[in-house]
Amino acid sequence: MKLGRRRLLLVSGAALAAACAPRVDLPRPATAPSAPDELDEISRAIQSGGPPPDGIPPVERPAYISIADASKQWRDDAVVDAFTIDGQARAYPRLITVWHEIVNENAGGRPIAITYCPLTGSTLVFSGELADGRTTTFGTSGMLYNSNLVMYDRTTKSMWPQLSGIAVRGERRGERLREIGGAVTTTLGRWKAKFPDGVVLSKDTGHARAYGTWPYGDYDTSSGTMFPVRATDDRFYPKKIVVGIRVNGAALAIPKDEFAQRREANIEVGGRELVARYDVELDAVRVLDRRTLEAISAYNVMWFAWYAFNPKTEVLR
Amino acid sequence: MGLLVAYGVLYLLVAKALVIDPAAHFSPFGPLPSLTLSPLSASGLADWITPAFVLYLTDSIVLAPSVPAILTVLVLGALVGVNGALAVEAIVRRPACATGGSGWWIAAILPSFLASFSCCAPSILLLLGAGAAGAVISTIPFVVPATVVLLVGSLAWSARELERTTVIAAV
Repeated sequence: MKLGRRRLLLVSGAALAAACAPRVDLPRPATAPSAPDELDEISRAIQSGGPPPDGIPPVERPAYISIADASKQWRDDAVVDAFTIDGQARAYPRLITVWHEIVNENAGGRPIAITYCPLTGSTLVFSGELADGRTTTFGTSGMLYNSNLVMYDRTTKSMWPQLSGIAVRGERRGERLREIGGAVTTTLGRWKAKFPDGVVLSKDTGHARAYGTWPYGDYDTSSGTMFPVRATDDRFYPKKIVVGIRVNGAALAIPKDEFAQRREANIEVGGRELVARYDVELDAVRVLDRRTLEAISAYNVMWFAWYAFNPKTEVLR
Repeated sequence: MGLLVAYGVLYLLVAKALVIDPAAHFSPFGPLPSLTLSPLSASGLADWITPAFVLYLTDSIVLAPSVPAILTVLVLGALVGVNGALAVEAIVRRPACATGGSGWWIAAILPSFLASFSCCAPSILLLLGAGAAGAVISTIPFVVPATVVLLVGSLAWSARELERTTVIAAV
C-alpha cells in the first residue's frame, strides 16, 4: 500500500484549515513600550484561553420566565447570580451563564452587562456606558488574564479584564468600567423564597447548548488553576470563596463562610465607611455605604483570583 | 466498526460532547428525547465550541458535539479502527519463524492511542498543570492534523509490514 506525500499533505492541510476559526480583530499589546507601566505588564500577560472572540457567545437578547416556571426546570439548589433592577428581581442560573459568560441587558433603557467567569467564580455587573458617553455591549475576547475572563467592548474593541474592570488594550486603555452593586450569588430556592414574583433567565438564549451540564468538572474544588496567575498566596485554599470589595484602589476580602458566623461588621475601604451584612435568607454578603445605604459592588470570587488581582488586599478577620 | 464506535464514544466523553451525569435532571426541560439544532453556517465547520445539535436523550444523558468533533470522530475513528484491525491481523498472521522487530505492531498502534488525546484541551491542561497551558494552547490547532498524519503514516507502515510478514510466511 503506497500513499503519496502530496496526499498526506492534502489531508493534514484540510484538517488544519478546519481547525482555524475566523477572528475578530482585537488590539494587540504594544510591542516596544518606552516606559512600561502596570497596564503594559497586564496587557503582555494576557493569553489565549482557546476560543476565538465571541467563541463563547454572550446572550444578546435575554428572555425571562417566571420564577415559578423556572422552579419546574431547575432544582432549588441551582446556583444563581441575582439582583434587583428596575424594581424587578432577576436571577441568572449559572448552568446557563457558564455557557455564555456575558448577558447583555438593558436596565431603565441603559445597557448593562452581567458577566460571569467560571475560572474565577466571579460575577460582576457593569454599566455599558463608557466615560465619554458612548454606550456599548460586551463580548468575550477568548483571552484570559490571571485566569480571568477578558471582555471586549463592541464600540471601541478595548479589552477589559473582568476582575479589574480597567481597559488594558485599545482606545479606552486606563478607563475603569462602572460596577453596579447589589448583585449576590445564591440559590434559586433561596431567591424564590425572598422574591416569589421574580424572573429567571430563560434557556431560550438563541444558542444551542447543553444547559444543565457543567463543562468544568471538579475545577471549583480542585486546587489547580488552568492558566497561570501573576501572584499567589497560601493563606487560604486557592478556590476558597471570599467576598471582594474594592473602593478607591483599596481592596478587602471577606472570607464568606467565616463571616456567616459574624453576621455584621463596620468596615472602611479606601476611606469609605461601609457596613458588611450577612444575609441569612440568601446565604450572601451584602455591603452598603454606612451613610447613604447605597449598595456597593461586592462579589463572591475565588481567593487565588482575588489575590492575583489585588496582592495588597486586606483580609477581614 | 466496533473500534470506531468505542473510539467515538470515548472521544465524545473526553471532549464533554457526551455527558452522562446521574445527578443531572433534564426531564423538567421538556419531553425526552429532545433535539435542538444549531443554525447551519460555514463558520460552523471550524467551530469546535458550538454544538451542531443538542440531544437530550434521557434524564441523565445529553449529546452535544460540534461539527469538527463529529468529523474528527468519523475520520480519526475510522483510521483508528483500520489501524487496530491491521495490528490484530499482523499478530494473527505473524509466522513463528519470524525474527526481530517483535514490537513493530505496538509502534503501529501507538498513533491510535495518541489520537485519543487529540480532542480535549481542558483535560490536557488539567493533566499537565498551569505551567504548560500556554504551550499546549498554542499547539491545539495542529493536534488533530498531526494525529491524522500519524494515523495515515502508521496505516501505510502497518500495511507494508503486514505484506512483508505475509511474504515471509509464504516462503
